[in-house]
Amino acid sequence: MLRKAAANHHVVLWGFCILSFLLRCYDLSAQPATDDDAGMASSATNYLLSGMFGQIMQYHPPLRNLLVYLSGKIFGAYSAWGLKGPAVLTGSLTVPVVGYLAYSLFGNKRIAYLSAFFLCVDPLHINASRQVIQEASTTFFISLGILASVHGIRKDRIVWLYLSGAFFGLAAASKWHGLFPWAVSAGAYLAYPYFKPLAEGGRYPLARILTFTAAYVAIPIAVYTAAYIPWLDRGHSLAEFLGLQLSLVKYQYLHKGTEYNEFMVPKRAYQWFLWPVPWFDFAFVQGRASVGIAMGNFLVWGLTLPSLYYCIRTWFREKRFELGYVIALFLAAYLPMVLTTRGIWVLLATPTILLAFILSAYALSGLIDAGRISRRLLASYVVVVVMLSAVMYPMSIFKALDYPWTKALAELYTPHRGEVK
Amino acid sequence: MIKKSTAEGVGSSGLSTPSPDHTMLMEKRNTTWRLILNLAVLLCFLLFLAWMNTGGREKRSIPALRAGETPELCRVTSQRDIYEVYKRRGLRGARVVQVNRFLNMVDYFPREEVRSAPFPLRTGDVRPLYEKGLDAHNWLFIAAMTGMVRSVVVVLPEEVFRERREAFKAVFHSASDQSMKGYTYDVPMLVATLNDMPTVNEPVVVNVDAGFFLGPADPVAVARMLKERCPDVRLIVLVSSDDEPDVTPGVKESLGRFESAWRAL
Repeated sequence: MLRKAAANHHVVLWGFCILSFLLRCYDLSAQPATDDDAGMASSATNYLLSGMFGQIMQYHPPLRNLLVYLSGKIFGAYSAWGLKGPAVLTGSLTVPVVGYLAYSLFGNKRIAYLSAFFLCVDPLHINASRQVIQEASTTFFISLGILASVHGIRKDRIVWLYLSGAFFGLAAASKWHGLFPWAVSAGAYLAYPYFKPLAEGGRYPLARILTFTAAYVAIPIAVYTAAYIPWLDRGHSLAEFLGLQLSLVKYQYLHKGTEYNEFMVPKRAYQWFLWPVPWFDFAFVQGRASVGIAMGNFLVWGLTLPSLYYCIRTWFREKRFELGYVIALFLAAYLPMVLTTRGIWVLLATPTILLAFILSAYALSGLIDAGRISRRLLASYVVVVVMLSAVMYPMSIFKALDYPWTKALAELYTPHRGEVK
Repeated sequence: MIKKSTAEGVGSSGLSTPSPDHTMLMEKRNTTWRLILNLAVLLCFLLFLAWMNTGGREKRSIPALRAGETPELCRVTSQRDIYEVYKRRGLRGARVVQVNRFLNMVDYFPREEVRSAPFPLRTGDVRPLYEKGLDAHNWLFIAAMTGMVRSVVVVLPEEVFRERREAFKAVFHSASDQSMKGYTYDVPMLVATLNDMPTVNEPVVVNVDAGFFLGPADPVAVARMLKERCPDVRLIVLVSSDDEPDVTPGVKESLGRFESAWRAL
């Protein structure tokens, strides 16, 4: 029966979704709200009340405010669920969506299962899905946007293309990370007939350009702009809205974190897949300190660059559109982070890792098919990944000070390091 | 529609697959249908943008003037008091021209807004918290945060602008030797001297501070030029800035001369 269930990818992927949900909501009420969480609750209320952005991450687009406000209304208050509901839900749902995405791309269940599994147990994604920050929702909308794009591009199906545009609009309205896959997918739609000359709709370039404009320009921009309606209601014009976006570009480019984050926490994106990199969050509520550490499972993250090499080599050999698309998506998400001079902390890797995981799953599956690694070795690897994620789990749920092995890491990066005791 | 096409295909060729002519016809129909749908989406998009643009503008609230009526002129003793003047007049989304030697945009954020607490977190309207921190140098920032002001033009004396030009260049995204354009938080700002200030073609509220006349500025010339640059003033607030130690009685006299010149225009 288990074998039968494993053969049905819907069963497996939704099984991963349930597991993800459990990992992301376990003891959620015991995880205290950070000052940022509190600020985001206030931002949500006041954004809807008067269009005010609030103090926390006001330089990011405001969809988070709308989602948190809605969640607060559904749960009746900003309880743990009212506040973090959108992150938990979108974080959990991203897992099957990534699985479906990998399956749609390559038609291979092993790749789909591995991609979903890597995300399901990733401690950094678990951490991001338990906070109010917009990382989880951005990643969710990005994965939906890419999934819809894959279906839309392949068959030139207009509804999927429109949906893709809407999801990319939502992703960008959560955080500008959504812009990179949006741009790549738009380019992929235009480029597809050149890869597959017999593709449907490929014979009408003007119609294709018109569809492109509607699906990848008009709809995402409309969705993105709609998230600003409460701000525009303060009397602003569209010209002022455009000016604000331009000023935010400069702000994002020059953004500096707190002194602690600038000088004590690793802040370069090239480090992400070379060695383990942490991010810290602190909460001090009712006399009790809690520390959350966001850090990827390096047994998985460490596969990214070798897998990228494998995938690029394979692509040069096979010129397969789907693989090229994922490689382009990954590079477009990752390289700007690597090349920028401002601090890029590891929590910002959340939208990138879903693509990294698909590449790693593709490489592992390819190596198995080629007989380079055995299924038994893969099974052992999966077990070790689960064990490491289990060890890291307390860090992800703000219990880093409760266990000796995670406490040691927290103390290594304490803001009070070097102070006389 | 698909069923119909299959039936037609069978009917015309007698085979289960549609004829090439029929396929081409269907493709053409499909392309036409897509063209219409895409054009409809683009039209809706343009209408949506237009609606957004006018929707925001319609939410503005600024004192109205009847034909031939002169704008109301108020006098206050501190920059801080302008906030109350605006509040009493129910300003919302106004564009302000601030004639002073300071920007009055020092930022202020109440700590209470971002203080963690046990669940459930309680939130409410934070505007009163901002108003609690009101002072002479941050009032304009707070007025922008609370929604009364949406855009600010700061007119600085020539000597002050020259002195602060380099510091401004680091902050504003569009900077030249004549003016600085950018955003403070989410507030569009323009900083310029009166000579280089562009004409503001929308209803504005003007504040003139006595401190502006600390330098060699001629109050009569300032009044004339300001009238030219701001043809549609709806409210003008004159500030004697009694709480600023360097604003002397002589400077306040200049403000009086500005008032007389403004009324005479």
